[in-house]
Amino acid sequence: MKKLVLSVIAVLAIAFSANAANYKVDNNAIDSIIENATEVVVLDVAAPAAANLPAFEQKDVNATTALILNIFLGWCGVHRHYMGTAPYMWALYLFTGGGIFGIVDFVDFVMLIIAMTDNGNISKYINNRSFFMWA
Amino acid sequence: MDGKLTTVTKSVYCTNNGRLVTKFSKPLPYYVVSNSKGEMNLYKPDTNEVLSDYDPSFSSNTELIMLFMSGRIDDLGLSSFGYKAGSATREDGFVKKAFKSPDTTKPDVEIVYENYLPIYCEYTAQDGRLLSKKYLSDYKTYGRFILPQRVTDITYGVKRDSSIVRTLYSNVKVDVDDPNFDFQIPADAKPMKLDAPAQ
Repeated sequence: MKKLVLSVIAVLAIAFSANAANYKVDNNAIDSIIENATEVVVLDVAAPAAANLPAFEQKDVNATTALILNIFLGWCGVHRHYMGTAPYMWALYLFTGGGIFGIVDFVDFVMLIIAMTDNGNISKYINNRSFFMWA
Repeated sequence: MDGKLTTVTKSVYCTNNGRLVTKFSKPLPYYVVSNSKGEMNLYKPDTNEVLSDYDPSFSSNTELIMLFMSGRIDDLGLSSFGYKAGSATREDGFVKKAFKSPDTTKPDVEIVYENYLPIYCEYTAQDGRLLSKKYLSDYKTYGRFILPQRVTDITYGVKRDSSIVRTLYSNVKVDVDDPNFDFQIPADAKPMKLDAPAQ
């Protein structure tokens, strides 16, 4: 038995507030927000310099910027490309995060916070080519 | 509100032997071929390069569609990430279940069910801060399995800013023939150059 599913994912970074008490989201409101947004190419968002350089010096990478990218675009690994990583990393994040829970980018978030409390030292995550940057 | 939007388009080909072919067409063409053991091959057709890797998190079983196809919707695959189910409570016709990981870097997860189907997931950091919400809706039956047509993820950032991921499942076909089910990475594919620029 074979099964085929075609999926289309639209992603939006925008100001939005949801009712925490509700288990259902207003789909019309979500659609409206997405329809009114400006489309960009995700790898352009990753900072052109970061996306096109094979390796970075630590001085070029700001821990706060990496954290913000993780919060908003962690689902596709943009923070990893900003810090320098393997060129295919975005595809692995999309592959794993798009399916289940995107727990990997949550853990990245925690590890970046921990590193930032250590004088912002994220050197071990720069040019890190492992899928699990903390491993 | 002025937001930025990016669209990812992928076609997912699932078979009941656990083989999963994911074909990304936007933003860039890529294939990811994986199986239930976590063996994964990432293929870049324009350069004929392949990367092979193994990790349980690459398992095809973690793909949402696979979870629903196999009926493993009780914990949505959290057990494969080491999560343990906690207590279940009832509230206004909903059932809520809490899941915890022994790894303290991983968030706590709560899943809410309506008519035995997961409709809401909430991710909370160990310090109690709300990280993300996932809404599953518009369930539809396809042959022997049921699938939400729409999944909305809202990840909370700083102040009122958030990231929204809306996933729409469309053009779902069951028991069809398509060459992509049997997609094979060419035998002459070269190992991916890991020091190449990102593209």
